[in-house]
Amino acid sequence: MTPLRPALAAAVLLAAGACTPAAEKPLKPGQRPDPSSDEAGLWLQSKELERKVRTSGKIVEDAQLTNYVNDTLCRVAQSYCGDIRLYVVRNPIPNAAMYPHGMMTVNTGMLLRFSNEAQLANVLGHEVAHYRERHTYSRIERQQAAMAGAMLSKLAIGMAGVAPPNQLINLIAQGHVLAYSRSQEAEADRVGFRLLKRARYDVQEAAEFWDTMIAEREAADATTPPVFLSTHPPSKQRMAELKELAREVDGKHREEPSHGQRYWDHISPHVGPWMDDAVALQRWDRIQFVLDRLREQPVAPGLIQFYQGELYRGRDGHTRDALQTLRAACPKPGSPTRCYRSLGMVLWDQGRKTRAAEAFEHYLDANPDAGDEPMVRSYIKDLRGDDT
Amino acid sequence: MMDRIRGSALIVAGALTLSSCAPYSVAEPERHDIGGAYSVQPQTAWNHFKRADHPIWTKDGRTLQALHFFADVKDGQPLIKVDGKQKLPTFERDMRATEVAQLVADTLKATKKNQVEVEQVRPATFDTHEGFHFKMSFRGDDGVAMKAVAEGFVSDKGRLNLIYYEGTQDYYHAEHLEDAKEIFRSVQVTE
Repeated sequence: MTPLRPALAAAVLLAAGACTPAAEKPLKPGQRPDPSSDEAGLWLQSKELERKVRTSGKIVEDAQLTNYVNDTLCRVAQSYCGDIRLYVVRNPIPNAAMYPHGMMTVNTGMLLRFSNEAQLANVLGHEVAHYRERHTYSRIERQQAAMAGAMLSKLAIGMAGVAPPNQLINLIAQGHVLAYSRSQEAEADRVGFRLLKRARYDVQEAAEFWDTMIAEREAADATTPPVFLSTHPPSKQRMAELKELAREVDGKHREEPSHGQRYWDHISPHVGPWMDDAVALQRWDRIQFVLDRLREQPVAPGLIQFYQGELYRGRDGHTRDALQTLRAACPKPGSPTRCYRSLGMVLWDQGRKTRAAEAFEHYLDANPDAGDEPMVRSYIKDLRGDDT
Repeated sequence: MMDRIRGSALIVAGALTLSSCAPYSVAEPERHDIGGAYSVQPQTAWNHFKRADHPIWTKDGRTLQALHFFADVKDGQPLIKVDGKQKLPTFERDMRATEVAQLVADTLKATKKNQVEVEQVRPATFDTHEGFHFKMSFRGDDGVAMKAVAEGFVSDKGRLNLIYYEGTQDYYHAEHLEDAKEIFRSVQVTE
């Protein structure tokens, strides 16, 4: 059978599916949809999306990190572990997503925002719940229902003017269909919470994490809320329910660990490159929020201070703050050696040429093979006024 | 009746051909003005893709290799314009060579390119002006490994002029790199 056939079959069945009840039963571990079903067509298209994600060059391939995140997933997903393929995606936007056929993605921007492993496990468990309860499929099925009558008439007169699965998959890729309904979100919260509890994590971290996301939304530019919140809208009611669930569990479960140190042992080596990605977006309020949170974690203070300096350097009217911050950051352990190059730039901006040249020399001493060595050498030459 | 259908089909086909070719023209091997800021003279013909914010030339197709010409980019402006609310990094008039290279790298990251690395920055002349040359590598949004090289300078008015050449690491970057370098060498800044 060519790939087109199941797509067409799925399109027809999606239309016809409107006449049948929505998928109510959760998927069992290892369960696959009936190959002749509309859900199978959706899975086929979703798999195509996974192929694109795998070859996109965006997947973080660090084995230690991916093994760690996958181990955490398996701890919460348990018997569903083998059904889900988790990809860490190099993307500074905080987001996590579950696709109908078992692909889960977690952006590096999300990993920078968790405080500990329990918060990671909470989101993974929540996403597993979306998979288990077939939420994407149910939602698509409901959306299709409205169109079904018209589509069937069109099919009847030989004009296959249906929304084919590839169009649906575009909607999934764009996040439209991943915006779950309130009842689906509540269900995923409850199932995710149970998974978190069963995996013996501190259950109070579930509500803690949502608190953080809401705080970021309030701190950042309101026109660009975190993407994760647009597909997983938080509400006071939702927070209250999570806190209530946490209160209901017995004392023993409330004393379970959150595994902060273990989490940061795996995340810390990546903070620098991931912060570089965040700085490239120049959403300074967001970056400040992340930096403030990172300060509470076991991440090298020199590294955080360097990015604070870079933030001041990027923001208008903060040259003095940049100078002070970078000057303090550069000698500290964990600060990248390019800190001295940034410091040189700020000193140069302030007309302090000798100091700027010294900072650039410091940078080159520490990076004799730097790719920009010829350019930085020319800066030093200009600053020293040495034409020899 | 059949003639009418055939005629309509021809008109439709003609219109489709015209519309599909509309953004492209040929950049002949002659001197070309770039935004009134500088001019270049290719040794061979290129395909010219017309974009509202800056011209792009290519030999084999924009996704395979492309020359981007940026002229008189002002303080506070991004290198390219994108639809919607997406905010792109902006040029600042006091940027130095390493910062311009970083601006290009950040623009690539913000437009969904991955594994972006600035590999080399060195001084170079842009016509007679003190400027810079830099090399980069990255992966396109389809995961294909790409290489890029650029030359430019910041004018006394604080405006960025930059020629950026990128192509797939396999074959297409190397295939027309010499042609691109010829174009770098042909630059004449408009005084």
